[in-house]
Amino acid sequence: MMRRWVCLVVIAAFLALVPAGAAVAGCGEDVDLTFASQECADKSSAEIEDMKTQYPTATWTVRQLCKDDGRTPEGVCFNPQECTTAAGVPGTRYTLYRDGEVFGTACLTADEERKVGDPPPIRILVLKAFENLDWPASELEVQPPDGRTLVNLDTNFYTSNTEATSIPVSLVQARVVVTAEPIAYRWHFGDGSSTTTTSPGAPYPDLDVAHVYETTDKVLVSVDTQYGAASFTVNGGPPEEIPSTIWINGEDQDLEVVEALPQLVVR
Amino acid sequence: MHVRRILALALAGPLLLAGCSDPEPILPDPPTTSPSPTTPSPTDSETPEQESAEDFIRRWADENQRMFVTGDTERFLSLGPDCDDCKRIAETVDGIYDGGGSVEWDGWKILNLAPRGAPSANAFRFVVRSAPTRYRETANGPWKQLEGGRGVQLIVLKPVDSSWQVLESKELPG
Repeated sequence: MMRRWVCLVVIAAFLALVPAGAAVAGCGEDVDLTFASQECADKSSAEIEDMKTQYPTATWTVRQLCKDDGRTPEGVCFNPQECTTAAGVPGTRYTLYRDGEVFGTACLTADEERKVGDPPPIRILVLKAFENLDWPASELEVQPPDGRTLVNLDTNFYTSNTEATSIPVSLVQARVVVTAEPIAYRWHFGDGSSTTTTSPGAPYPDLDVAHVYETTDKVLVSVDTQYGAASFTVNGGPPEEIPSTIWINGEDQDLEVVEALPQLVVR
Repeated sequence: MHVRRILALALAGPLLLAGCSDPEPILPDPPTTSPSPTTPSPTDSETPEQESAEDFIRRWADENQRMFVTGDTERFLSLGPDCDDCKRIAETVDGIYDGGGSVEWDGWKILNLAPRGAPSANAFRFVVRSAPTRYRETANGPWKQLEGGRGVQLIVLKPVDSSWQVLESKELPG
């Protein structure tokens, strides 16, 4: 009789802990009856750390799942549900909450459980954010101008995007400024050839980045920019290096390669 | 209503109550090692060839498909006698076929498969492309459809003799 009563309490607790929609949090749609019959897997400590970087302002907490309703006032189970962690060592099962809402379950060791509430290291957030920031594409200048150039003669390419760009971002309630500068340029000449330089090119007559078209054609030209030499500051503190680089593709421009026809000029 | 919700409501109650009403612990069957009828018995001098985890998982996935379209859960369950998740899947099948229903499904194509966590965990993550499912829960009930698509599975195995058994089968976030 006692056992049945305990079980009913467990069922009630289970239903209370798993509100509508919560049981499938983080899992995909039911693509077939096998998926429809299954539960979501316990999240590992590594997956929780990864989710912290995806939701940098969220608060993550866990509550131990018990085999019965025996629990200390602090919420620690007398008989915790046992599980095997992703690392293959014994752990206990927890309900995982994001901002107080059930997000799923997790299988964690005691050490891993203690780390759940720690904010993600800001450096990891910055490294992750670096590639998603809105780094400006370089504007391409072509000489001769106005979308026309001559076959068999140098066409000059350059960009004036040479300075460092700083982008402010808000991460875990800190003012972070990420700075990077162009370190390389990839020039697409539109006739199947391209070249990569550290030089941004220069206006005529330098011909620092130049290309000779061998046939008349209508081509699309562009310049991609590699940002690197990056750093970030937190709340105005000293800069810390970011080892990442990122390529930002430039916009295509029309360029018509034409032939210069000789004309007799009467003087 | 969401299929998962329907199945969960249909299955969770009886499962939980069944577990509660039985005062005796149910011990799992010991691992079976008998060869299939078509395989000759190994002699003492022969060592059975170890089945790779990948081969076993593919065989398990094939049995899963066969179970859904035939209603025969026995062979599927024999691949994971200690696997509560597998029992849950089999109970879905039983629920459909006991009511006179049936399932049409071409199963999974496994797109990739890799160990998850430490090698000693014998846990594997694999991505499947599932065929569309057509099923009905009673003989004359309406046909229902699941579109199929990409899904991610976690499977935990334990080595048994020269093969494996399933301990867990769960859905992973895609």
